[in-house]
This record gives sequence, C-alpha cells and structure tokens, in this order.
Amino acid sequence: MNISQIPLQVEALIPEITLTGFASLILLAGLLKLKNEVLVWSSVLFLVIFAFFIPSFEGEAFNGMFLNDFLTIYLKLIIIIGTIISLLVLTSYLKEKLIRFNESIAFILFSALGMMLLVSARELISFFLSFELMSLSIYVLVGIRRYDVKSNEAAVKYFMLGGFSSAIMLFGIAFIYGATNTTELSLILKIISNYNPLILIGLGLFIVGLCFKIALVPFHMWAPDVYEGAPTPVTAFISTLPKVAILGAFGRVLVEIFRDYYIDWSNFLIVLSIATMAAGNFFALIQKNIKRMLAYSSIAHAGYIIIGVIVGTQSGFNSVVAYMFIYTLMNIGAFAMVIAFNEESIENYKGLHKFHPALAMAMLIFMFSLTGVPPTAGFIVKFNIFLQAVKAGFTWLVVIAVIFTVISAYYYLKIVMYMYMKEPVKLPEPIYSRELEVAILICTIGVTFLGILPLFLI
Amino acid sequence: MHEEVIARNSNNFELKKYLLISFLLIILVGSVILVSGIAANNLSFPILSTLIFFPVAGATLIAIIPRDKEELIKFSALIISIVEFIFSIPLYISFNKTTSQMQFKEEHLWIPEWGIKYYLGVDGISILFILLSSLLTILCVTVSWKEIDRKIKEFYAALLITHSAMIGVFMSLDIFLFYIFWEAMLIPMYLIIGIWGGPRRIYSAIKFFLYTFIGSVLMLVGILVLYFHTGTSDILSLMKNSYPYKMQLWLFWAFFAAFAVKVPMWPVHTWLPDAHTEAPTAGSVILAGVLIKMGAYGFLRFNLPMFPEATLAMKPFMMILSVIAIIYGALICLIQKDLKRLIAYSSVSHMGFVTLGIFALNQQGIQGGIIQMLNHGVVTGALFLCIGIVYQRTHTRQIAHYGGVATVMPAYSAFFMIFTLASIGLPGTNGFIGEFLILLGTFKAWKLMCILAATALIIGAAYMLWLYQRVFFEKTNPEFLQHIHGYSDLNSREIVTLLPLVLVVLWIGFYPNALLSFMDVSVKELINHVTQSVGAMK
Repeated sequence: MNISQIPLQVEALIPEITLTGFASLILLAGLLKLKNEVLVWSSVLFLVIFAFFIPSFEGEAFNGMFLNDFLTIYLKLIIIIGTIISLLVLTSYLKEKLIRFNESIAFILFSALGMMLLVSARELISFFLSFELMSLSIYVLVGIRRYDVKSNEAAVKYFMLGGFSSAIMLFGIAFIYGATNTTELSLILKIISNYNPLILIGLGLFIVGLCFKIALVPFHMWAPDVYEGAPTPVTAFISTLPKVAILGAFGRVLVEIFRDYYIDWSNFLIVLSIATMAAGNFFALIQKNIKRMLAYSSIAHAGYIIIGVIVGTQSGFNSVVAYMFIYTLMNIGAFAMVIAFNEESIENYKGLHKFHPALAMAMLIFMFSLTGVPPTAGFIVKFNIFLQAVKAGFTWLVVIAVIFTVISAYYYLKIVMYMYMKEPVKLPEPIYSRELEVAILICTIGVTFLGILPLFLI
Repeated sequence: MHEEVIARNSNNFELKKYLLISFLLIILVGSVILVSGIAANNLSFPILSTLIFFPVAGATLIAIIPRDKEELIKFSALIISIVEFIFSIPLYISFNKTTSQMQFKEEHLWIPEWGIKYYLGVDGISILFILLSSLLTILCVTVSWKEIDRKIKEFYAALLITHSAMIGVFMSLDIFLFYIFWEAMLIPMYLIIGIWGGPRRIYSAIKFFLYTFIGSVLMLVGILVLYFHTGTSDILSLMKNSYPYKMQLWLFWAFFAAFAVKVPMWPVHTWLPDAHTEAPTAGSVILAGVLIKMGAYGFLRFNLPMFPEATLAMKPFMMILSVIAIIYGALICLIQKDLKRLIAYSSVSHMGFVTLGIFALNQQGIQGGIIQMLNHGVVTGALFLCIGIVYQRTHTRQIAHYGGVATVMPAYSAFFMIFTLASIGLPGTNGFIGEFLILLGTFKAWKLMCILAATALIIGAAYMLWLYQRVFFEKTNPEFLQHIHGYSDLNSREIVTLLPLVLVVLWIGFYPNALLSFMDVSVKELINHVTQSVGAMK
C-alpha cells in the first residue's frame, strides 16, 4: 500500500497541535518583555478554553495509533486542571526567586503536551517518544534554579536515573517488538494470546521502566532527593501529573493489552505495591523536612493507586483514574501550602494556625484528605479503589492497605497537630499572591465538595 | 483610667447582652412556632436532615463571625444548640412507640453508580441518643463559656460539627453513610482534645485518633465485603440477608474491631482514660455522653441482627470481656489520684455493664443496656461537668488537693452527691434501673457472670463514696482554699447547666417507662430477629 494513500485523520490530534503552537509562542514571548502576569494568566486562560474544547475531539488518528476516547479525555482533563493549578502555584514562587517566567511556563506546557500524547498513544514508539517529551521537559524544570546546588543536583540525579529507566523501558519495547513483530498495540493484542517468554521479558522490563517513573519501591530511590531539591512548585507538578499520565497510559496497556499475562504482572505488582506502601509510609514517619515527607507520602500513594491496576478490570482502572484526579488536587494543594508558608522544616509549622487560620484550615483539609478520612474526597477515591479490590477478591490486600493508611495518619496528623496544638517557634514569612490563593481555593473546594458529592469520580 | 475603660466596656457588654438575649427569645419563639407547624404537618418535613445540617450551617455561621466578637460567638453557639434541641423535640412527641419500623425516613439516591443512598431513619433504639446528644451539646456550650479562652470560634464550630456527625451515626440507614459519619466525627473530636485539652492533650488526641481509626478501617473492609456479598448498602436489607457462618465470624470480628475500641471494651480501652482526662470539659462530656455509645449502638445495629450465629457463638467470650472490664475498671478506680481519670475508668466499668447486657441477648439485658448507655451519658456527663466547674476554679484535678469542699461550695456538693448516687446505682436514680435490668438479663443468660458483675457494684459504691468523702468532707484543705480564693459556690450559669441533668436522673429513676416504652418494640423485634435467624440456619 502506498503510504500517501492512507488517510491521516488528524482531527483528533488538533488539541495537541494547538498546544504545541501555544507553548512555542510562550517560549518566543520571552523576547517581547511582556509582564509576567500576562504570560501566566494568558496561559491559564488558554488552558481553560482548551479544556472546554477537548471533549469534542473524540476519535482516532493515524489509523488507530492515536486514540482519544472517553478515558483519555478524562485523563487529559485531569492533566490540564493540574497544569492550570501548577501554573498558578508556580507564579508566586518564580516572582519570589526571580526566575524567568516564559521558560518555566513553556516547559510545563511541553511536559503537559507529552503527557497528553502519552495517554493517547496506542503504539509503542509514539508511546516512548511522548514519554521522553514529558520527561525531558521535567528534567529542565527540576533544574530551573540554575544557581541553586540542590536544584542542580536533583536535576542531574533525575536525568541520570530517568534516562536509565527510559533505556530499560525501550529495551522492553524492543523485546516485545521482537516477539510480535509490531509496535502497534491493537496488533500486539491479537498476537499476544500465545504464550511467549520473549514477551514476558519485554513486559517485565517495560514494567520496571514504569515503576521507576512512578517511584514504586524498590525503584524509588531518586524520588525523595529530587522532590526535595526541585523548586517546590515543580515538585508539586512532578509528584502528581507524570503519575497521572504514566499510570493512565501504562495501566491501560497492562489491563487492556496484556491481560493474557495478568497473573504474571499482577503478582509482580502486588509485591511492589506492598513494599511501596510499607517503605513510603514508614520513611515518611521519620522525615523532618515537609517536602521529603510529602515525597514519601506520594510514594505510599502510588502503592495504593497501583492496587487499582492490580485488580485488572476496567472498573478497577477507572478507580485509578478517579484516584489520580483527587490525588492531583490534594497533593498540589499540600505543596501549594508549603510554598505559601514558605517553610520546609516541619518543626517550623508549629503554631501556624495562630497567624494564618485560613491557610492552616486548608492544610488541615489536605492532610485529612491525604489520610483518607471522610468527608473529604481523598476518602471517596481510596474507598473506590478498595471497593474494586474487594470485588476482585483481594480482600487481604485491602486489609494490608488500610493498616498502612492508619500508619500514614500519624504523619499527616503530625502536621495538623503542629499547626494547631503547638506554640509557634518562629514567625512565619508567608508568600501571598493572588495566583496562589486561587490555586489553593480550587484545590480546597475540589477536595471538600467532591468528598460530599462525588461527581465525575465514579 | 483603667477602671473607666472597664466600666465602659462592661456597659457596652450589658447592652449587647440584652440585645442578644432578646434575639435569643425571638429565635426561641420562632422555632416553637416552627415545631408546632411541623408537628401539625404530620412530619413530611425532613426533620432528620434538618437536625444533622442545622448545626453544620451554624458552625459555618460561627466561622464567619469576626474573631474578636467573643460574646457573639458564644451566644450564637448557644442559640444554635438550643434551637437544635427544640428541633429534636418533635421526634420525641410524634414518635410511634408501637412499631419497630424505622420512622421519619428520608431516602435519596446519593451515589447512584454504587447504589449508595442518603438514607436516614430512627427507631426505638436510636432515637433517645439523638435527644441525649442535643441536650448535652447545649450543656457543653454553657460549661465552656469561661473554660475555653482561646480559639473560641474554632471550638464552638468543632463542637457543633461533632454533634452533627454523631447524630448522623445514629440516624444512618445506609452502611456507607454510617461510615462517613462515623469517621467524620473523628476530625473535630481530635481537634477538641488536641487544642483545648490538658497538659498531655497531644498524646491523648493522637492516641484517640489512631485507636479509633484502626478499628474503623477494619470495619471498612468488613463493610466492603458485606456490600459485595449482598450488592446493597442498605442496612435494613443487609439485616434481612443471611450470611454463611464462616463469613459471619470474619465480619463479626471486623465490626468488633471498630465497636470494641469505641465502647471501649477491655483490653482496647486504654485510649479512653487518656482522652477523657485530657479533653476539655465539653470534650469529656461529649466523649462520655454520646461518642462511646456509638460503639454499643453499633453492636446492636450490626453485629446482633446481621451476624446472629456468630453473635451466639461469641456470646460467652463477649460476656467474659465485659465482666473483666466491669471489675477491672472498678478496681482501677480505687487507686486513681486524678478526679477525671477516676471517672474515666468508671466509664470503662459502666460500659462493661452495657456490653454485658447487650450480649446477654434477652429483652431485659438489651433494654437495660440501652438504658444504661443513656444513664451513663447523663451521669458521667454530669460528673465531668461538675469536675470541669471545680477545675476552673482550682486548676487542679488531684484528689489530694481537695477536701472540705462541702463547707465552701454547699450547692455544688449537693449536685455532686446526686450524680454520685446515680453513678452508684441507688434506687430512685436512673443508674439503678439500668444496672438492675442488666443484672436481671445476665442472670437469665449466665448466672456466674451476673454474680461477678454484681460484686463490682460494691466496688463502685466504694470508690465513688470514698471519692466524695475525700473531696467534700474531711478537713478543709488549705491548698484548696488558696486556689478557690475569689470564687464562691455555683453561679447561675452553672446551676442552669446542671439542673436539667438532675431532673433527667430523677425522672428516669422514678419513671423509667418514659424511656423503656420507646425501645420496647424495637428490642423485642431485634431479639426475635436474632433468634429466628439462628433457628432458621439450624
């Protein structure tokens, strides 16, 4: 068949193309010496409009290599909402630290573009390429404070390990290609039913690459250092959205394409899940720096989330997506509080309620939501995952998960306790800005409102 | 100059006070009209939702009031709690005592994808707790008037939200909704203990939270299993279902984990003395009055009707645990040096009676158990109020620092005496009714346990009377006189706080049927249900 005869069907790809154009414009806008607020608010405005139009681009492109169905649109909306909040959070920080706006915004947008392509990719090469687009932009973002040693260290560390994991994943893709002679997922699905050890090896490497990126134990070593070293808004961004995209994409591939190998990968992931919940929660208990604590907490959360993938059903995967939505809100919210308080040491959170009752209240909501106490949305989505797990017969795994939830309550409550029940040790010097307040407000309202009326979550 | 300012402030304050009182009266009259309207309307009005959400709305209102208007905050909290109590009166008036069906039902689809409903209703077992909670909340507001002196706004908001969540637990007819309220209650209670409590408040608050949380999450797993076995989360249909024996056992333990911690049963009671002792007076009252009753209520609502076979199998075990709690709690009381801690351990003992009565699995036992729960709520709540009142004057809870209080505070001593006697279970007070019924029920079920439990009554009399002697009689302690300096006997606010409880004590003591008649049919139905389903399975 002559290649030029294949209809391209690029309609479904229009949002991504638009976003590429806009991100490039933002990059060029640095030449124009625009005001920073103009850049931020125009990007936010663009993304809001963008979010409204995305649902209308359902369909396929490039002969099914690019898919835009209900689930991917849902994931893309999470990514866009997360990006909007991240941009708002980023603003006050950039202003404070005098970092150039246009680059940061452009890289956030490029990274979001990578994520959107990733969740839509139905072919392993484009899968890998979008994965790399996302990752490379993030490496740059981590090192955006060019004169800060910690930030640089984090960037290099992240880059090295990230590159390493990408290579492993690529190796896995190569194995799968070797066994099936194709990189198209729909074709792989047809071939895969006869058991082939090559596919198993490929799948194993593929999953290891995934585990690196979402920081499942024992592939989590980079996460606390990178999360601590990166500028806080970037930490908020990289601890949430890449996980949304990767779990959204990989989880779907595992559940839909590799279901014949379900026993193999689910057993592997069960072990990782338990190890992740254990290590994440126990290490979080002893942290003195709140960013490190939140890093370990987000590792632990990956352990809960992966249970939804382990279940191996469509509804299980939906619960993963819902969890990620709320996780994005509450985790970015918590990091936004860290920026607002301008304080990294947990000790210095003592008595903050006295000075900033409203901020402390928001932090309290995020902490209880991260613990998973009703009536916050954190409970609803956690419940959803446990529900699917019990439905599939993983009651014992749920028992383990709830026990780790109780352990996690200790370190989340510690923050609440410090803020409300201790006497202040230090006068806080908070960073206030309209953008930050808007971001915190969105997260707070989302977490409480969706906890009481769980729309869009189930 | 300084005095002038004070005088002006107090003038201002007087004016505001009158304004507020008139406002209060208006609201009272308005709500009385509303109530009569509701009663006339045959209760198509969503009264249960109103009861749950009115305090939440009130808490929101309090959160809006500026921080420095302290009197306004307190008065609003008082008005809200009084109106809430008035709202709960129609429940009492128009409750149909001749049926075991759920009444005042409200049913709305909440999460349609899971078939989870917002489903409320009360029956003879749960209705009285709602009234008790509403009553105690008012008293909590008045007793905290002077005691709570920082973060006032947050305190009253937390208090009202706790009340909402607690009555939500008693009203829920959907197991998921039940769990939401059950857990939501933890957040404000954690804050109440942790922010406004005593010296070891932080330790106690975290202990309270973690103990309760671990029990609750295990129950959550149980709830999920139950939900998938039956495909519904409706408590009433869950009761009608029967489950395989092995599953019943597992589920019994899952629910036991949550309820036993809450009651608290021996040996998971250790959070209670700490939490009770360190919580502010209002927190202790809420804890003792309503919160720990949720555990026993859970046994009645879930374990008995849903897992009857497992309940029957576990009956000896549960009764032994209860008797251990009764005797152990009472013995520990004898060696306590701290007033509040003593009352806290007496709670362990009294709640042992409650679970003993419940697991006797007969009419007298269960009715006695419920009555005892209410009594304990009233009496222990009252004792905590009394201790709070004297603590505010002396800032010490050590029994050794007291002595001869009766000469300085005669009215206070009289109140305390009444509650002491009620706690011991003197005939004529409410305590007698509950304990008598429980012992009667236990005697039918297992004589040895009845005899053992009865010995604890003697120890109970010993520790309470000895406490009374050490605090109120004997030689006036100079240390106490020093502390009490500048204060006198009860003021009118405190008398108003304690008086309703005295009335309740005597009312139930002389006319227990006022409460027993509420639960008669429901308890009979519950026992029928248990015995029938056990019979059917055999």
